[in-house]
Amino acid sequence: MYTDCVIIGAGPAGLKAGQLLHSLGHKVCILEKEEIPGGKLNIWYELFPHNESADGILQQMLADINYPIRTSIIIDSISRNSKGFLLRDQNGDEYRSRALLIATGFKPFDARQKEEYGYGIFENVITSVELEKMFKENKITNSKGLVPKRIALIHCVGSRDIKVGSEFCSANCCITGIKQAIELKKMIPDLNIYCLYMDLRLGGRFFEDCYKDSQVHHKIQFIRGRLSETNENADQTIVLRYEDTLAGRPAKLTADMVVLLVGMQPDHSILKLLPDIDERVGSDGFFGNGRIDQADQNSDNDLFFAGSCTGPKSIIQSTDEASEVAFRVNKYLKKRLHTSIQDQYDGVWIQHP
Amino acid sequence: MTLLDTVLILPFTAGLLFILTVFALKYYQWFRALTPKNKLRMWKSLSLRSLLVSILEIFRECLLHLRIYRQKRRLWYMHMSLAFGWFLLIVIGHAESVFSTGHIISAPWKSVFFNYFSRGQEATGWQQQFFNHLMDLLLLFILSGLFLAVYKRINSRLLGLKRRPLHNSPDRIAMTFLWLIFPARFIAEALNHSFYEGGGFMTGFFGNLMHLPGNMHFLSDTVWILYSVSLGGFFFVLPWSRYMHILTEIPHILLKNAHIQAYQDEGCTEFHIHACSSCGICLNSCQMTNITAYKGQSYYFIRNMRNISGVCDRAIMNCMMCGRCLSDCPVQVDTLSIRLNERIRRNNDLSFDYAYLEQTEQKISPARIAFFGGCMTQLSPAIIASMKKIFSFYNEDYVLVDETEAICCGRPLYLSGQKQAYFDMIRHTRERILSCKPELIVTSCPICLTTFRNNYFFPVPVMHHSQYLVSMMQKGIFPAARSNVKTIYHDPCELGRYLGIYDEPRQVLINTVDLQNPDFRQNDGLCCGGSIADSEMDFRDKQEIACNALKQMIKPGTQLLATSCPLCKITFKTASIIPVKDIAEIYAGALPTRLTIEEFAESEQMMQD
Amino acid sequence: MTEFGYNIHEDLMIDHDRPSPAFEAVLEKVPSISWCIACGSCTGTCICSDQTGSGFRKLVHFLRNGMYDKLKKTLAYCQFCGKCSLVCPRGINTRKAILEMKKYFNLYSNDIA
Repeated sequence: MYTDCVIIGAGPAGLKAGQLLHSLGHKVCILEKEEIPGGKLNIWYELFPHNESADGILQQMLADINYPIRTSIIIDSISRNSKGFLLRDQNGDEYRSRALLIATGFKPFDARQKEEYGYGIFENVITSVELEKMFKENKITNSKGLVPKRIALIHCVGSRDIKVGSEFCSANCCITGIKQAIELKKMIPDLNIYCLYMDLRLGGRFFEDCYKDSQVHHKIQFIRGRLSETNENADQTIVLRYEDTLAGRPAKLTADMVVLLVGMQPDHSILKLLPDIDERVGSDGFFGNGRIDQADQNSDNDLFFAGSCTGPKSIIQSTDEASEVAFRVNKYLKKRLHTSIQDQYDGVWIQHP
Repeated sequence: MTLLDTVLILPFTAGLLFILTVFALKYYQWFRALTPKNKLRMWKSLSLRSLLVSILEIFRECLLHLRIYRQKRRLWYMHMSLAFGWFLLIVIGHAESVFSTGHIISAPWKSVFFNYFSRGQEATGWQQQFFNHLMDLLLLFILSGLFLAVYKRINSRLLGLKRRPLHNSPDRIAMTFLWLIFPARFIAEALNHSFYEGGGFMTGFFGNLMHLPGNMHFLSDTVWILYSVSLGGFFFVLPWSRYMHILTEIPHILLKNAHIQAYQDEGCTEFHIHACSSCGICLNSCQMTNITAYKGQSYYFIRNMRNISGVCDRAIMNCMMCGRCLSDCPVQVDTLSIRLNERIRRNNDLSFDYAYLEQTEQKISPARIAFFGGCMTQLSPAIIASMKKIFSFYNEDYVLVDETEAICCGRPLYLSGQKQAYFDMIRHTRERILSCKPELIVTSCPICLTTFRNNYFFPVPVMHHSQYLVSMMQKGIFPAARSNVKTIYHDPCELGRYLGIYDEPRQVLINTVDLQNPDFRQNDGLCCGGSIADSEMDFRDKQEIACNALKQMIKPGTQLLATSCPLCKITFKTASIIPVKDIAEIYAGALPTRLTIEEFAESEQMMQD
Repeated sequence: MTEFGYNIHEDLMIDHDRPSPAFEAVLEKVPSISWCIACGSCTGTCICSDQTGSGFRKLVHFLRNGMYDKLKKTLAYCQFCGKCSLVCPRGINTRKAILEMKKYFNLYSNDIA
């Protein structure tokens, strides 16, 4: 297949960029490794800050798609020369393009690395991703199949933590925790919910309203103290040990369920196919360097990144960035437009392993 | 005796007298500084049998350096040729002098400068020829080792040392004199034989090669004086250099065989630090050597202890106390005790107040087995969950001593030198553990186990959980579900080098996983870097040490790293790509879930029927 | 607070205008104590915090604000186990900081002024 731009990843950023590039007249193709498009949009039930349905947003994004989205595609190799890219997938199909947009997204932090929190050891310790699945199934139950009475949400799991090698702030877990706390309270009105946090990072629009709402209408309790250790009682409830730093005293809490708000981690699987873009990885592991000065992003460069693969982002931030990158791709493609597309693909291809 | 003769023998004789006096005075001083208990041990050990044992060891180690032979062959040759060669040179030289003059006792310079005093005399008979050739052979032997020593300064890798020690000025001066002695002797003797007859296969040969006119005779005298000056100079600088070890190794061995330790004994410490031969093997054993320009390894530490300048606080605390240097040391200088002595000297008077420990209301219910997790195990709840599962499976009457109220075994306090605080604190821990009246104490942490064995004096057996598991396996009640996971076992420093427990964890693993044979086993095991004995290193340094250790231990195809210390597990997890598990987790994973042993036996029976 | 002048009443207000010499001294030896974000993990895991109410975070807090009496008292409770170092998300070398603080105040055993 010959295209102007191949987009790797059919998440919010990939879909937005594809839609824009298509409307600007370019031939695009999206390659997605999962069976269905949508990326991490598929794991959420409701989105912050206004509790919009994730599925609804996804359907909106998938409406009126007039360009190919190939799912269940595992890319085997990517070759590159001065004219463009050649991608081969596991079925042997080839995709040629003049530009490549990488929108591979993030992966959630593997909470087994934080052994002292008991994930993978105690059954009643789950992650925010698993909780969201429970929302979709409309059933919140603990390991014994009972509805919990006390739930603790733990902020900053796998973020701002030198011990697991992730020192950056994931920016979206605090609001996710508040959103999930409100959802839990709506489902189970007499539930006691505690949020254990280090700092509350609520920088987006209407985020502070969510926070206030959680305290005013839902009586969520916020405790400033980072979780230190967990223990399991004989009845599989979890005992949490931490310090209530505002009170200045060590504290403990027994919970039926503990939800770990895992951070967004960079996903480096694409580097195996394109090892020389290793230099585009910043010190925190995401692509790009976070600078305002875009001087090094010259329009001759045919490789682009958008979405949460360049840093922890919300859906709106992903689609905003995707729009901006789509325009840059457009600028690049217009510069390189000569004769028909087929003529562009002569020359020697540099094979990557 | 001519004037020339006197000028010749003066530097050597003065130096010899000086050094013998210095040795006598110092040894007397150090013996006096032994603790009274150790002095008593010393006198008790002076039996004929133990003296014979010591003399044999002196011969094996001080002259033949057999411990170095087992580790690094080329380095061994260098040390041995100088030590044994010089010893033989003196002994055979004396024999030569006795044979020639007929006197058994004569002045020392007669044998040292034998060739000088016997020049012009005819070589009488085959015995003298024999001596000539033998002495030449010994001289060649020494010179070959000397060549290696010189080469070592240029490229130490040839001798198997990745890092060579950087010596200070007194050492360099002494070394220069030492290196001059034998070449000077060789040239002096060769020159002798260019003017006079005689000589062995080497000196005679080279002597005859040089056809020097008679008026160059002064050259011979000059080199003889140079030889004497080298000897004398060496003796004069020796008390300030590392070469004190030449003689000090002897009393050091006597003390060792009398079971006298350097721990908290100033006199014994002096013997140890002066017995160090500065061979540099410890630099290669120390895993801190590749982390920055670290200068706190045992070699530098012991040397700075000898100097007036002493050791700075940072270097004292910047040691993992892993024991690799002690394990590899050919002289067996007790580096761990000496470092601990220094730490105690500096930190023993720091404040402490453990009165609050008496207020614990928690009275632990009686149980047969008291399981003490320890501070590190609490940060690895998988180990606790596994031990609970194991104890339930074997229907044990157990209690987790520190589950709700934590208490420390005290070893970190002890290793930092706060000895008073340590002894005050462990009363409480001991009481807490014994309050449940156990018949057996099991701990999953080797650090705790070391201190329990050393200072707690429990009235009941205390064992590591690997030993407990092996004892259960030996009773034949282990339903092995062996998986094919390729596993490498890491020997923790405290369990391995300190306690000597190497086999039990391996026995547990052989029955549960596919145990591979790694390098760095047993007492050569690598330290994980987590060490609670090192309070100077920060997280990144420890991670780097863990990373380097993993690179050396993990072979391609290894799927799992097994360890039996919670701190090793926590430390390796920060640097490892493959999973890291404690042996308790592996064992518990092989047990059927949620069954007691009776239920399991029943189900086995049912399956067989 | 008696070190900083002649106060008859104990002033409950922390005076951030006044520098803390002990903090500067310890900071020079252990620069990482300035990295503290006061998350409280150290106190949560501290084995003596249950019985004494204090942990490493409080020590830094006392040190910064010149509350030396409380600091000396709390320092003496430490059992030096090292758990705080293992959980700190900023990687502060807490044990070295405690040692340096103790050495700075250089008290002899059981003589807490």
